[in-house]
Amino acid sequence: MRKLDFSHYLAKKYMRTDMLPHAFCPGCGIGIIQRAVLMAFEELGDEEWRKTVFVSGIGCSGWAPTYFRVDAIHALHGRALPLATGIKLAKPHLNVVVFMGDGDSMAIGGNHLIHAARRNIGITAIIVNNMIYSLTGGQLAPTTPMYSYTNTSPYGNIEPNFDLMELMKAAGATYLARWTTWHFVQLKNSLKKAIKHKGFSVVEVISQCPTYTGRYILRKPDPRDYMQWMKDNSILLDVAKGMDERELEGKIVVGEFLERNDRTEFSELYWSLIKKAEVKA
Amino acid sequence: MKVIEIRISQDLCKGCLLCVWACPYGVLEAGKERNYRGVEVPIVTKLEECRACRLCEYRCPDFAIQVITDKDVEKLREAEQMELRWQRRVELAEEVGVSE
Repeated sequence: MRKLDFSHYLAKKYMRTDMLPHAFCPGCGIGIIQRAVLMAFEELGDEEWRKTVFVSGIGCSGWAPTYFRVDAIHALHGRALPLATGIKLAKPHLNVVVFMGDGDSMAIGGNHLIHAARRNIGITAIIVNNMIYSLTGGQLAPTTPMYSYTNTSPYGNIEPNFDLMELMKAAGATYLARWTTWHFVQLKNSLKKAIKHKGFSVVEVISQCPTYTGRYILRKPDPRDYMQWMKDNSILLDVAKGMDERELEGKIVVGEFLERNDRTEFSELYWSLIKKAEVKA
Repeated sequence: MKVIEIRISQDLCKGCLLCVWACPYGVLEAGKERNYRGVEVPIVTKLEECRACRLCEYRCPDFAIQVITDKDVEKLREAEQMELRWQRRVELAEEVGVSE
């Protein structure tokens, strides 16, 4: 086995160090999100880490949990949430954390996302949004901003993009937060809350992809310029409430969008139904 | 709290220089020499300016940089023990052939 010379506390404690260095491009935001997840679990404690299962779909972000020293499933494209639903229903005491990209969650797996929110099942979905299909070479995604140029929209994109937070609020999710990778500490705190939360919780992370989003959409191929752009263009939710649509055009609204505890969690209903049926039989 | 060392790994760094951009006190600087990967790994130039805010760690996507203060030494040793246990498991799996 190859021995790497490094000393990173979280990586040594939680990661499969024989698989490092990981496969992401220089400056990719997924490494930052991995670190935020590990740090959230470090603060939650060893007990929570031991009863956690990671599920991931296809895409660059699908590689993220395979580097962790936990049980992880690399599912079919868009089908990470059905697998996670199965795990949660069979073993309701487990924490199920799902890593998805924007293509995985909103394009091919969009229906699964809506219905998981409708059932309010206790899954934490971390959605890495880089505004483009990066793994396959920079095609148009449902999250690409309007009038931007990609490989498959050479005259500019004329489709409006998804607002995931509004969609999930309408579908019935019970914890919603959106941060960029620049807001590291806020992201970590939101992840902690989402993992502890009972019910379907979604944390959307606007992540940088210097290779494709940086080159085509923003024309900022340097990750430092990209992060500066995210810092300058993100507006907190409380500030954004007082602004009209024209002012918010091209901006990223960040913050904790929703936290409610009035809906019953799905696996509780499921197991109470099973107990009721067993008594009758 | 006293900063002992800022360790930057030559094996893991991919040279995106986000840590240099993130540091508010100019502790780090882009290196002049290239490593085996062909990237300019940052070097520590002003260690006495470091306040251990760990912004460089938070921005690093490659787990390559670690600020070590006198409080971290014990924690790091524990983590290294856990990594050794993992490595032993991987070696055992390779011997038995579980990984295939």
